[in-house]
Amino acid sequence: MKKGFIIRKFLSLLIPIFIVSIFSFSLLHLIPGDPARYILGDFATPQQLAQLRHQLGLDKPLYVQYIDWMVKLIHGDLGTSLVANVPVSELIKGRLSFTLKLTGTAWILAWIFGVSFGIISATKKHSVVDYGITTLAVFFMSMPYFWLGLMLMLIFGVKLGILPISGPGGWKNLILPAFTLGLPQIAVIARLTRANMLDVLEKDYITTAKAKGLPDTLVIYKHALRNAMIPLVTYMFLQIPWLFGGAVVTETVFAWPGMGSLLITAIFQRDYPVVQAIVLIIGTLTVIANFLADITYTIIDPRIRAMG
Amino acid sequence: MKKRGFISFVLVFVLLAAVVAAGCIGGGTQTSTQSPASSTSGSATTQSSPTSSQAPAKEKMLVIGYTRDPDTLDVQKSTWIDLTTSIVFAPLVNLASNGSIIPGLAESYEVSSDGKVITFHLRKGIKDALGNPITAEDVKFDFERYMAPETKSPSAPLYLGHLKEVKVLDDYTVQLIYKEPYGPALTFATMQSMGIFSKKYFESVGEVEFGQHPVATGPYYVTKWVRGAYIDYERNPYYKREYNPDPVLTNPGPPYIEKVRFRIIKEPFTMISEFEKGNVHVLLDIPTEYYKQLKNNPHVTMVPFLEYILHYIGFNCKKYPFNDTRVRQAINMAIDRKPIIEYGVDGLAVPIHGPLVPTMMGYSQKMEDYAKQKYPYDPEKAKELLAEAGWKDRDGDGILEDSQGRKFEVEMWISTGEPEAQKVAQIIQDQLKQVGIKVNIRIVEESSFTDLVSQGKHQMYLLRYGLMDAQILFYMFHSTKGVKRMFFYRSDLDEALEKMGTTVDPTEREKYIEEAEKILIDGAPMVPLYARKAFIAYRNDIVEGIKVNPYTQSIYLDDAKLK
Repeated sequence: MKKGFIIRKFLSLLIPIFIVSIFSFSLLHLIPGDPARYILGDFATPQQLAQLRHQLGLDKPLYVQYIDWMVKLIHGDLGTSLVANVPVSELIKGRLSFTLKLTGTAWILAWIFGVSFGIISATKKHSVVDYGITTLAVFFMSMPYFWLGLMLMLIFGVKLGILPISGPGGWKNLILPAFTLGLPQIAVIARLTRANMLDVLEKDYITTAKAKGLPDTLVIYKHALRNAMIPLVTYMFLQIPWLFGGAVVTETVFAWPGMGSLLITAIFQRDYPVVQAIVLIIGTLTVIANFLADITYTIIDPRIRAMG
Repeated sequence: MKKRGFISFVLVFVLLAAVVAAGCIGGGTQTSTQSPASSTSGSATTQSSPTSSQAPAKEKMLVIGYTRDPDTLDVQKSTWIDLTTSIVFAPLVNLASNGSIIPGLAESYEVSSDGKVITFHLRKGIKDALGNPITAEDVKFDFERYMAPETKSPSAPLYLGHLKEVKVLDDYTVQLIYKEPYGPALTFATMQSMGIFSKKYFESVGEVEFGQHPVATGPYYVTKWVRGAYIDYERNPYYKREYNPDPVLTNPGPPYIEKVRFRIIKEPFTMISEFEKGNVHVLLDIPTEYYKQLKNNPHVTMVPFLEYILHYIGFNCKKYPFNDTRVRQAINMAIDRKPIIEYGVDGLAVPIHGPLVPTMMGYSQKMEDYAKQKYPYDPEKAKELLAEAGWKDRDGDGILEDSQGRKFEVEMWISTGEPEAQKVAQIIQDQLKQVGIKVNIRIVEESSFTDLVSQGKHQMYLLRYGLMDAQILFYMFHSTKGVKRMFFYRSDLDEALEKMGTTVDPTEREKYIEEAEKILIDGAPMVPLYARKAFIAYRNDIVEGIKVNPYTQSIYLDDAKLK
């Protein structure tokens, strides 16, 4: 693979991250509400508010605030939370690992279950199993995380009592939130796998392989699956932003102390540095995910490499 | 075909195993964060041998469910003060559950005749939870840090007033010297933000660490805080009953329960599920929709207390049509609080007629009775008063018009931050329709609500105010030092409020509070509606002896025992 291609791709990453940072910065500052008001409460006089805004640097023009923030960021400083008065990195440190643990597990679940259900569905086309899987897939795809989370909690946590209801803890605590986040993705991947498999199974080389007398298993898992997976690989990374989005709701439902629940609190408090930092982290991870999608695609499919 | 089916089944099985393995990897690192189950089964005085309770020894820990995620546990910097810090910081004086101010770390105190100097006499032998001795120097350090502008404390201006200096007379005597006397000084001295901690501890750990793991003089201290998840506390072995001699408490020494955990759960359904499963033992705030469900649970004891928050209708007194006192008075008589409480807030409230709530320090029953008698619910009388002010239904459409034919149609703002406001607003809308006033409800986003109101853009609105002390009136109604809400400014009111604000002696202060209240009732810049009943719930099959202090709106864990 050409070195230039990767470097060019990598540089093109910085632009979207930059745009994300401007967007997250201006959006938050444009909506009404004021961190000084939140900190000082309802009884604060206009003078006190003005003084605190000055102390926090909120009275400077927006672009100056943005540049200040950027300069600090380049020096590796995410700033200090306006409300908690603690470095943002301190607040996020613990939270990031929780979010990655949750999204990572959901991601693994999504692929393992999604692909296997997709294969079953495709190889048993138009059978009861196939219809069952397809129907369930549509069901889970259209369920909001919030509702799904509460239902899983109600069934496995409250009624059956076999899994912890909420909170961080051992691996058992991870199961319900990870499935809540993973189930809609399992559904999507199962459908994609099924469609791609069916497509591939009708190809001439499959017929040839079968005609050669190769066992079904070998045909399916060596010849068909490998080719069917190519379009799916991109989705492997493209789904990551969805997982982060879903994590915000899932974390709140399951009292999982990740970045999502911190983000919600920070938005309500208008704690600008915290919100900006989280949005930036999620934005960066998303951009990186897209980048990886591009790269793996070229690795798997040489035709794209030639064109790229 | 058959073979293929078999293989896909095998595949699913293998994958299932892989998932379990993945789960283990995913959560593997986390088990280490659980503190090892230390031996808590033995007697409280000596350490029992660690081997005796090795196996599945379930840690005896009281778990309190809480919806708020604190921003910091440094009380002097926190924007929100609650039980997460009140069990850590013991103040010089306490507010007892009967509403009186009683000793604390200070065994006695004196207020100078001009009210400018409060002298506290500390108890001897006070230690913080780590055994650091506490003397007058620590008190000085704490208060000076609290008042220093660098601390950027959001609560200091309110709680300290014009505190000028902290003076140490000897190891056990310390004086707070004010530039001018501060009326609510003693009430606020009972707040945990005035709680005492060791200078030595603070300096040894630094400010950031202090905010995460505060150790002070209260019954518990913080050992671990996983932000967004839980805060763990251990009891303070040096804590004594005399640090808070509230007569409702009986335990002579440190609390019985050794470990306490606050679990932060924001989703109400999750919270209630954990509570009903017995994983959370105490609920500090119960969502109203679960009130009935919990009330019918025999394992749940619910303790009510009256919030010191007044829900009210505010008028913009400088803007037509509410610049006429008679109009505002008439509306005071057109509002029936009974259906508002019954249907608006599910009956979980108490009607309030005057500007103060019974659980606020300085509340006067006399003025509440005065208001109740002055403005009985009487729509006919309200209509008469409106007619006197020139509002009559001239075209027979059921809506009043003034002499120039302008209709009495007003906008009432409600905040998105008040979940019950919509229901309450609709009842008010209906009640005012009965006297010929058309009300249009407008929902305004919470964070911009008070800003818009303080610019005077409103006609009338529905909101609440609250504080543990009558000083709230000063902040709500003083013409220059208060917030801008109702724009009801009068020099006699300012004078009464200022006197209230600078009188420390409770009986003399009461006089000025009543004076201010009377002006507010007569001038009617608002319609006081109700104060909500809040509940604390606990699992009576798991824990006993939890007590509620209605004045601090908080619970005591001192007498609590796990069953």
